[in-house]
Amino acid sequence: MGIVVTDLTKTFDDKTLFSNLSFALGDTGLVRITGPSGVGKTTLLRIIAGIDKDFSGSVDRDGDISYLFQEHRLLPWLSALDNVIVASFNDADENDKESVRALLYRLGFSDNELLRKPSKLSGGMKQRIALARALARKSDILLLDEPTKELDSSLVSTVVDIIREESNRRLIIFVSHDPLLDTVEVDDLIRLSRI
Amino acid sequence: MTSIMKNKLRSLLPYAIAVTLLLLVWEVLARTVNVSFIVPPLSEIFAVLFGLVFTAHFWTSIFLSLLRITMGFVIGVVLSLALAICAHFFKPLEYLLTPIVTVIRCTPVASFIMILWLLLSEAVIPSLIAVLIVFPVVWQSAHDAMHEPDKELLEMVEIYNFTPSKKLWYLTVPTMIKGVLPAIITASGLAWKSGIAAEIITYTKHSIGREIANAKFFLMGEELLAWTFVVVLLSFIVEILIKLLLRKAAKIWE
Repeated sequence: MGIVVTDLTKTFDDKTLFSNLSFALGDTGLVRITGPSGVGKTTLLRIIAGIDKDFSGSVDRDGDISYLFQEHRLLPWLSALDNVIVASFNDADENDKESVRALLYRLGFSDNELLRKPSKLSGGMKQRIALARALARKSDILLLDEPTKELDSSLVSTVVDIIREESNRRLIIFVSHDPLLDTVEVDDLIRLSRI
Repeated sequence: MTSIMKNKLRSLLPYAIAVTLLLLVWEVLARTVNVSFIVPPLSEIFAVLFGLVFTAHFWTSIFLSLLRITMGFVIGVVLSLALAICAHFFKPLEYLLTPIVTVIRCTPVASFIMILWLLLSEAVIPSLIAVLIVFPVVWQSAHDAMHEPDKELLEMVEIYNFTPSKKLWYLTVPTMIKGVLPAIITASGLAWKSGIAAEIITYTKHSIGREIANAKFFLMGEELLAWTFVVVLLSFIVEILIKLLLRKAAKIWE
C-alpha cells in the first residue's frame, strides 16, 4: 500500500483545517486533492511528505517521495541541468544524465537553456526545471503542488501526458487550481471542504 | 560620450569638489602655520613623492608590505572559512572558537603587536596581525551565514535526501561564501591598515611602515605625508581589486 492516512486532524492558529481525515492510496495511480483556497491542500501534501509533523492521527507512507513545491526552490548557484541531476541522483552515471536531458528536451528546453543559472530563467522555465527535478528522481511517490503554475497552455498538455505516464509506475498526488487540469482523468479524488 | 559615462561623471562631481575644497583648506593651513614638518604644503609633499617614485627602495618597500599583508589576509580568510565549516559540523570546536574570537575582537591591535613581538621576529608580525584582524570578521559572518540558511532550500535538500557531503557542497558552502563576501571586503581594509601599523611599531625592514616611522623620527613631515598618501592610495587600489575579484567570484553563485 502506498499511503494510509488514519484520523488525521490538523489545526492551525486555532482553526481546524481537517478533522479525522482517513484514506488509503495504492502504489500507483493519479490522485487529485481538490477544495477551495485555504482549505489545507498544500498542508495535506506537506504532512504526507513528512515536512509538517504537527498533527494528530497517523500517516503511513511506503517508499521515497519527490515533491514539487509551490515555489521553485532551485539552487541558485547551479545550472538548470545540474539542479535536476544533483537533486535526483547521488551518483549520476551517463544513462541517468541522458534520461534527464531527454525529459528536459520533452519539457521544451534547448541545450543552451539547460546551462543557464535559475536567475537567467523565466518563471515558467524555473517551474519546468523544478517539475523535472521531481520527475527525474526515482521515487515511489510524487507530490506535485500546482504542477502547471506559470506554464504556457501549450506545455500543459505535455506535462499532463508525462504525469499520466508516470502514474502507471508510481503514485502521484497533485494539487492544482488550473482549470486546464479539470478534465484530466484521475484514479482518485480527495475532496477537502471547510469545517 | 555615452549617457552612462555622463551620469557617472555627474555623480563623481560632488566628491571631486569636496576633495578640491579639502586640499585648498590644507594649503591655506600650510601657508598660515608655515612649519613644514607639521603641515607641509601640498607642493612639497608631491615633490617628495615624485622623488621617491624613482628610488628602488620605494618599490621594494611597497612590494614587500603588500606581500606580507596579502599573505596574512589570504591565510586569515582561508583559515576562518575552513574553521567555520568545521565548527558548523563539530559543535565543541564552535564552543572553543567563540570565546577566542571574542577575545581577539576585543584586544587592541597594538597589544597583539607587542605580545607577538616578544615571541617572534618582526618580519612575520604584520602577516600575523593581518590574520588576527581578518579572522574574527570573516569567521563570524561565515558562522552566521551557515546558521541562517534559506529555510525553503533546506526543506528541499531534506525532501530530496541529500547526503551530508552533498548538502555541504551544494548548500552550506555556497550559502556561506555568498554571505561572507561583504565581510571579506571589510576585512581587507582592516588587514591593510593593521599590517602597516604593525610595520610602524616593529620597525619592519623593507616596509612602508618603517619608512613612515623614519619620517616621524627625523621630523620629515613631507615624507611622512607622502608615505601616508601611498598607504591610502594602495588601500583604495587593493579594495577595488578585491571587490572586482569577489564580484567575479559571486557571479558563479548568482
